[in-house]
Amino acid sequence: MNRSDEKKPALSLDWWTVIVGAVLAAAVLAGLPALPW
Amino acid sequence: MKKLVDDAGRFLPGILFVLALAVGGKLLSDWLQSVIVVAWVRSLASNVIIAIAGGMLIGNLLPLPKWLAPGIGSYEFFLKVGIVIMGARFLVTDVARLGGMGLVIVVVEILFSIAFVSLFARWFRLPQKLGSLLSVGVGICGVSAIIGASGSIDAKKEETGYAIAVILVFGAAALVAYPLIGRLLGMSDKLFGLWAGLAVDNTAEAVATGAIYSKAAVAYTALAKLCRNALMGFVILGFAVYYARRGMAREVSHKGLFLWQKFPKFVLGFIGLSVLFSVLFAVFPGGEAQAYLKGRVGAMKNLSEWAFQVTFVGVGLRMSFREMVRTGVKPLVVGVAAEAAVAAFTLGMVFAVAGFLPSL
Repeated sequence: MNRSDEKKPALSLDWWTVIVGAVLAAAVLAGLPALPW
Repeated sequence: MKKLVDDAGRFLPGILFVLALAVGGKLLSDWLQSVIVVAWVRSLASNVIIAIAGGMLIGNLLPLPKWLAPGIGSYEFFLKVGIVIMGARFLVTDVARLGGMGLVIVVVEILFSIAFVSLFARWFRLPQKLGSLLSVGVGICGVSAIIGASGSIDAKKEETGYAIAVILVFGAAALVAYPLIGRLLGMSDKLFGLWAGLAVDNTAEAVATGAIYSKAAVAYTALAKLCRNALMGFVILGFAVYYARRGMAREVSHKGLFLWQKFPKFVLGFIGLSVLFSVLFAVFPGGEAQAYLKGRVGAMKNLSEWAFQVTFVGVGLRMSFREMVRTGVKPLVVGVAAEAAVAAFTLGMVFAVAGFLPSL
């Protein structure tokens, strides 16, 4: 694998997991009903 | 915009497929839990085992269309989101205490794993870089560490594939073997959780192994595993510099930037939510506010349970019997020896430090 061949997206998958986690936390704190488990 | 639509079209079918299996597996598990009367049989029908076994059977027995593959492969995203959300459950002071101690244990574990795997790889005359990839996989965090290291030390594609296959085969074995050993030794949730987080290589399989043992164990597993993941950059940098000095890989020009690039950012998300919820609990001490926040932590917990449920289905779907057979004997022998040694070593370590470890 050649590093120069790798396409770098603007935001890595890891950053997206942080963003999604933060959005979900904000929604839950704002009163999003709990999913049944 | 067009790319976004294209990506959605590529990933959505597989994601919906995995989500449907995750929900179906949970419903089936709930139903089995309510009808099975024998306790040990009921424990085999947990949502984790049903999701993994169901995924494994479907993935190996049904000819799944290729267009489902991108979405199925995205379960790592759900795993990481699940771990980020899990941060809300931990007080940041606990994370710092257990994480600080965890980091020390993890450094010892990583050094032992790398030394041991490298030694075995040399004895069995595996290609040097394959040995390095295996030691990174066993020492730190499985697949993502191997992929990260393979680019940095210019390993061959086959070596990378081999190392990943070995890690995945042992991840599958760990799901069965570790909980059995844990029960035989009568390990507490805390000790077992830490052990799984220290010894199981791949994050998804580690979390699944902890979850199979108990709901309380998985929290410790995740924290121990995060400590290992957080150190990934340092180990990969070490190997990159080692091979570059021998003219077998390119030089690393900016070491600080290299470390930042290899740092798993979802760990920051986990710490961020732990800080946020800890601050909220401290700032609003009133009974009503505390009750509301506790309810919200419960809601976050359920979200992470669902994210992990999707992950477990993905773990099962990815287990290919054919791939396991194709991996070959030599790297597997090295893998068996290394995994057994690391498992025994980390087991001894968690028992030795048990008295000093804080509870979550």
